[in-house]
Amino acid sequence: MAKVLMKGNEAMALAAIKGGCDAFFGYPITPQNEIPEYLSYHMQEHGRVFVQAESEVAAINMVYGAAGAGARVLTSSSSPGIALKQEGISYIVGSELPAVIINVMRGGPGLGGIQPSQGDYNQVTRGGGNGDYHLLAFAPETLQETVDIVKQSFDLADYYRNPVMIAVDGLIGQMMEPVDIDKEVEQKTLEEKTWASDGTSGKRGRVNKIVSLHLDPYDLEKHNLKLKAKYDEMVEKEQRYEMIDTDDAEIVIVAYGSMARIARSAVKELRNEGVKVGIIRPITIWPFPEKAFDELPESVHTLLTVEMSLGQMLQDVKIVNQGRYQLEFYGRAGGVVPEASEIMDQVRKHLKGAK
Amino acid sequence: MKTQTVYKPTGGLTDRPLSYCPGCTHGIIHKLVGEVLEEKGLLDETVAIASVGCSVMSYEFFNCDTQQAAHGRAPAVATGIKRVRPDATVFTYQGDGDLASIGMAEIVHAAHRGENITVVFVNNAIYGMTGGQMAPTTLIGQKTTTSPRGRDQGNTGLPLRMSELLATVPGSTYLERVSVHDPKHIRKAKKALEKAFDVQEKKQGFSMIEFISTCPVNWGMTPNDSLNWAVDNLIPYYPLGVYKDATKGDDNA
Amino acid sequence: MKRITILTGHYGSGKSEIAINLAIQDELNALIDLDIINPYFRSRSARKLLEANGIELIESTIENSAGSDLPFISAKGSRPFVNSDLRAVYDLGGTKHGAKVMMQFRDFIKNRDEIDFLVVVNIYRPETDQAKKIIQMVEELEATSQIRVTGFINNSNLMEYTDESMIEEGERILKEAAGTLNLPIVYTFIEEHVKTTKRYAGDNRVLIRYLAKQWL
Repeated sequence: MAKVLMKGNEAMALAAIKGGCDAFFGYPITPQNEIPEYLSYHMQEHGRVFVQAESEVAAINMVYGAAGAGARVLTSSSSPGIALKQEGISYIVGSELPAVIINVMRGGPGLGGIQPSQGDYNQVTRGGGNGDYHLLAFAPETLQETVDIVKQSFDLADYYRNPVMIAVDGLIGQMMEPVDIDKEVEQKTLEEKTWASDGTSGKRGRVNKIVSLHLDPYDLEKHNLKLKAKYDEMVEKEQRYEMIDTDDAEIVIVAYGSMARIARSAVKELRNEGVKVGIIRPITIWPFPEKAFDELPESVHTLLTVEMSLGQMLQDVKIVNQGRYQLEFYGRAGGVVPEASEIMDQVRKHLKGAK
Repeated sequence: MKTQTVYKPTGGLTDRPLSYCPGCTHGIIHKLVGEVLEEKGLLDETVAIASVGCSVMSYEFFNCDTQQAAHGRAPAVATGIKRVRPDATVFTYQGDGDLASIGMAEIVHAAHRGENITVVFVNNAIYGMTGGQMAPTTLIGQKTTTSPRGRDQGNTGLPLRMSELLATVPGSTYLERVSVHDPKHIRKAKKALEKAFDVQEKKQGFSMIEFISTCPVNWGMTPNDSLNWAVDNLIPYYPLGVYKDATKGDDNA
Repeated sequence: MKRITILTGHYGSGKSEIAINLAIQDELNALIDLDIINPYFRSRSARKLLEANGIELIESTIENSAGSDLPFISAKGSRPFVNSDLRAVYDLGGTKHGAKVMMQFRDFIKNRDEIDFLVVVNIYRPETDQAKKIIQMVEELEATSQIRVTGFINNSNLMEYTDESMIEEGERILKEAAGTLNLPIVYTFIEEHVKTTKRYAGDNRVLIRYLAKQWL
């Protein structure tokens, strides 16, 4: 199908319907409101479920129930709302249920602001809930990439029986861009959900239990190791990233989401000036794309991490870097979006021989 | 010699020994729920939601599909299940700390939306699982580990009456408070449960049966004394009866 | 051009960019940003540009608190209805939810002949890709704003992918809706990069994107 012009939030909502989302449970919060608004109108047309819950806490627990009953379920929120959902997310992980969570990030901490931010990097990649767990976490850059990932995420969540989070900053939620909503995406071969607790024990011949409680510590350790094996598989198979102009680069910017868009503009202009600069753009932020760093050419001497937060992804870059390159950082916070010129100035500052 | 079956355990419960103290009425209530589901032929199509509290392990006891919910969130979990599987029978099993304290928003809003689910609410006026702390339902003057001088109205307010409260929520359909302190009341309680699951089968909306229960260990009483204490103290403050019946044209009402 | 132009339509149809373009191109006195729907990409972001062009910007930014606002409506928004010397453009938030704010000013509107209430349509927005959807939207907008729609603006585009054929397809679908409702197409806006010599319905204007940054 041809391209249409869509707003980010609206495109994610439509992509969820296309991805086979059976049910949505959510609660209003800026800047993601177009997602529930769109779904409140369109889910019904497809005979699917939309419920506006009494709180984010209730919404994520509705997700837990519906996912446990075998449905493909979505919730969406923004940073402080995601913080409220953390308990439920931990239960969903502990019970090995699939779910898709969209986080349209805004500035924090606390009530913060409503302007775009990447300040949830730690909340998304480290998790705010209790226990040893991870979410498969994407941070797309364009609406087309966002739409494709939302569609795929339902398969990925089902495959791993683990929640997938799509973390976009508010700009991507609010911006307009042409998208091909029906673009083919890779699909997983999925097994039937014979584990679902959906009130069909009669047909199945046995009862199913959805629980995250394991009172015996050895039993709980075994359960944790089972989860760990899934995360190891994700680290192996799911790292996604894009290398941009890195072939002869001396400085490489590490940036994701809207920051990568701005970095692209900076790189384009710097390249015109003859500056050898490129970008590593993480598409998954968990697992962090460490493989990308092994692909860098010998010409690289410095990695410049840029974020709309104050050094959260930098921690992952440090872990991966292992002392290989000089590390520099530039970040803006609180909803301030840096201009391309600010990034250009940073790159120039760190060129070899620059004073 | 001819043998005759005079009593058979309900198929509504598994063979797992219950993890409840002697004299606690959870066992009776479990059995009633199991019997009603079995007799109505609903076991095969039911999802039970266990909550947090002494009944946290109830997912091991009910012989049907189960989900274990976070503290207080059982009505939200039930909503999620019922909305995607409207043909399943869905019930939550919650205590008074879970339902009336941490889960107040979830229970009120599930009733408010008129979710077609059944809530089995067990009120023993104390937090049992965590060791006998004050609950929102603890009576004035009742001593607990967090109201050592007895519950004091000035500091902690008055005990919450949940059936009365939910009766004021426009979306609720059937609310009844029962007790299981003697066989007569146990029979009445079973009837109430049958009615609640009827309401759900007929897609008439939200139903809740509140059971006045006991906690001999944390109340510091013998099983018999605790039953008497419930009759003498809890029932006067929490009167038994139907608090709401919004079913229409139903001859069983 | 009438003294007052009120722009409405689906969100993302291009109302804010068009409001800024009209205000600058027609040297209007004021732009009133009544968008309570969007948190970003609103015409108020072009404050400096508008002020440099002598255009007063009326919106809901909290005084002495740079760039922060809540979705409320400034009482100053009634001024152009009261002061007949002012030529102004109103930029409403998207959909009927954005249009309902006009009810706020109903009692100030004395002379409806001075007002153009124009619906901005981009047929590459899925919610307005057919004549019947456009007609339904017009009915909803009129019902919630209590103002009669007086015409359309064809802003059919796919941003940088826009070409002449897309403007023409937009005009074809919009004419179908306009014909049914007996309304004119008052403007066609054409992306800056589309160098066309063709004439389209209504007043033809070049659309300069002031709000979308280069990296968007």
